[in-house]
Amino acid sequence: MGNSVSKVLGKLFGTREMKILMLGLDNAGKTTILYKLKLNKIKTSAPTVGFNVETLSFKNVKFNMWDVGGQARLRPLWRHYFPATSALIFVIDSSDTERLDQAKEELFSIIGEKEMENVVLLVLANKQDLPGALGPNEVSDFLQLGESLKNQLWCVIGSNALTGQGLIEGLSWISKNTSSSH
Amino acid sequence: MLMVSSEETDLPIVESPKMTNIHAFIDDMGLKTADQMIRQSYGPLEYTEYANWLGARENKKALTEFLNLLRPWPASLYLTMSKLSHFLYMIAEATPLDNILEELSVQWTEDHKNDGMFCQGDYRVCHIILFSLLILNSDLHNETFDMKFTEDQFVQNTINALKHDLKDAQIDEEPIKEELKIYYNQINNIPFPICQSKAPSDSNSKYSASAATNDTTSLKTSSNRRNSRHVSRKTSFFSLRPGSSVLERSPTTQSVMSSASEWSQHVNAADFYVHQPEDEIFGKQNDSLWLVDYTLNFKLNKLNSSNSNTPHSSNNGFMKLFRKGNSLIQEQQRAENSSKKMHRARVVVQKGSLELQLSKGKNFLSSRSFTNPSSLFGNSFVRKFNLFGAFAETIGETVIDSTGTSKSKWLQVQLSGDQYQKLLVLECSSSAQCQNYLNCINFWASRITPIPDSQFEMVSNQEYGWSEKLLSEYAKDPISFKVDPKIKIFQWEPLHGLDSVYTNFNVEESGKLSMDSQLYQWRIFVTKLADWMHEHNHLKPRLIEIWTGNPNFEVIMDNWNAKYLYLNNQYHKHNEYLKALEKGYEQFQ
Repeated sequence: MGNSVSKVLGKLFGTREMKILMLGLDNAGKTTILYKLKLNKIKTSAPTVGFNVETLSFKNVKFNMWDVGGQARLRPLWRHYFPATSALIFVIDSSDTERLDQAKEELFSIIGEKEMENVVLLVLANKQDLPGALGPNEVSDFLQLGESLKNQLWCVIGSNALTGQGLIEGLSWISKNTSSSH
Repeated sequence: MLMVSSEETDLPIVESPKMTNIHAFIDDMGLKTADQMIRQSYGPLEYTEYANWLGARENKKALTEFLNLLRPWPASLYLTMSKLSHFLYMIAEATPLDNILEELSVQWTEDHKNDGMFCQGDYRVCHIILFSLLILNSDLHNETFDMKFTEDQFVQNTINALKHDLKDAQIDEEPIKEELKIYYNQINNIPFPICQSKAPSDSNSKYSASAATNDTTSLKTSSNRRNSRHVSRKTSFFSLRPGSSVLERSPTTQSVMSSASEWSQHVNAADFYVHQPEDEIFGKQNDSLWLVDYTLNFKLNKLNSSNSNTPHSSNNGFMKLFRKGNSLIQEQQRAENSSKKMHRARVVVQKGSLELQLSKGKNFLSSRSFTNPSSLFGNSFVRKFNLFGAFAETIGETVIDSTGTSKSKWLQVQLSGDQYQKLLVLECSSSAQCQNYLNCINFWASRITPIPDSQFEMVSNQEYGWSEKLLSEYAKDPISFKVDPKIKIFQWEPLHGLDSVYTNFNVEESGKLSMDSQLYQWRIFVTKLADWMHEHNHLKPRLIEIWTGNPNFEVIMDNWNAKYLYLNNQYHKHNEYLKALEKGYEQFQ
């Protein structure tokens, strides 16, 4: 019998109750990442008009993922979901340098919300396998996280959602840096 | 060129008609597409993808026409959304939905200048409310949303968004609140309808039938861009696996992993790698890198944390207490392991796996060699281990060979991550046999294990004692530099990596790893590891200078040591992987 991501998740998170949001621009790779973690064992519920929402639960750990694309005008509507969030995973397409500014703006508009001030931030610099993709260091420099987030823990990890590279490391980092109170 | 159809290709080539009004032509295209979409006969796309397509910026004209065709819009925004979702499959990404609702808002505001008073003639009010209704519909009726809106929360959330966006405008909140309450109850009672397929059955034929028709250019730049990208990425490093579900999108889904066993599944290690012609040739030769097969003694030990590279599992209070008692537990574990008796089995290493085959009966074996399977493998006589992330090294007693060199005939195999947390100890009949097992195990592990380099290149603002910021400040003025007394030091621990878990996670979508690419990647990784170790070594004198006399000195030194040991272990393991793989190439020549 083989192992599974679920066992690793169990080891990582124990019985803690956590809510993790995964956000990012469209085409950043969020859905691919979640499907990778789900191992494609998807129980499809009845389709509901609205947004693609993906949830992965394991014991008391729940990953809630939705994309908050769209105009700044609509952003306050998502605020309802920000409280009780332990960690924010922000996915960036590292190869799409033309939209990095937009991604940065999106990230700071969310992480700057009052309800998000205690969450730890994991930036997945995704699509590392594509030519021209910026490395985690370059992504970190571009986002200016050091200058902008003084009191918040953050981390940038290179990932490739297709191979799974960086995903377990990212979850492992979250587990080490979120307290049981979350 | 754009309008050439199969019928036209049979006609003699004539000069193109002069197009006096190119805009009119494009408008017609938009209208035609919109009309086809309402009838669900727009060939290049499935009807479930129309919203993503219409919401793309470059398709705005078609969107406008699509919405125009559905006019007039009802005065109620609930009914307006219901009408739209009846004709358009409204499960899509947020950005295109936003664009669709914005255009709808403009049209609705035009239609209801007189009776849509609560929107106060401002399409932005309408836009925010429509988007809010869509969130509410997802919230109340999608089981995945676990923080269901109450009526008050919904109303307040929407009003806050309106106030936030329309700071310059005077908004009369009361009529909006009244309207929102009505919508809340309507959506709570009856969700927006899902647009159903109008095709009787085979949607694929529809999909392909008119693929050669108009306007595929914009498709290539929007919704199909993602798929083509995925394909190009997969082919660049891995073999393409048709039907890979990662490329499929199933919106609004939920999965609950109720137990580990539900997800555990046997993964055939042979699925992890690209098969080479040499696998056939050498795969049948015993004592090669590809195959070693003998009967020998073994035991399965529990892996204690001292010989594990895996990080601590949790940082909660209980685990901290647990860690304090680690050395005692390790000692106990060592004692337990050493008292375990050896068993005899055929040990076959090949195709990425190590198989232990217990002898099936007393008749053929001495009493020493018989092992009751129930004590080891349940009721099975065979246990197969995946060599993903495994590492073999010699241990224990040594023998002096004919050249006078001291060599071990004992071998320990650390099995990947969560694989029963077992350490397999093998007692070979000779040091040569031991070396063959070692080479073969590491050879296969190096072929099927992905390169776990992510955590080495991660960037974080956590302070372990040697952050770039701290070191650069120190470098500026080493004499007067003082550490900020409020600084928070974190305990350095390695992260779990991709090599700590094997499952279809690694197989189904990643594609198989080729020997060539693995050799190339391991060379790069091992070189990088050497550089990182070198860099880390050079840090120590500076750390001593910076932290001596500081209350955090010991923590910093512990951090340095922990990282050094980890890097060293990683280098040792992966350098062995590299050497084993290089040996494989030597055999080809």
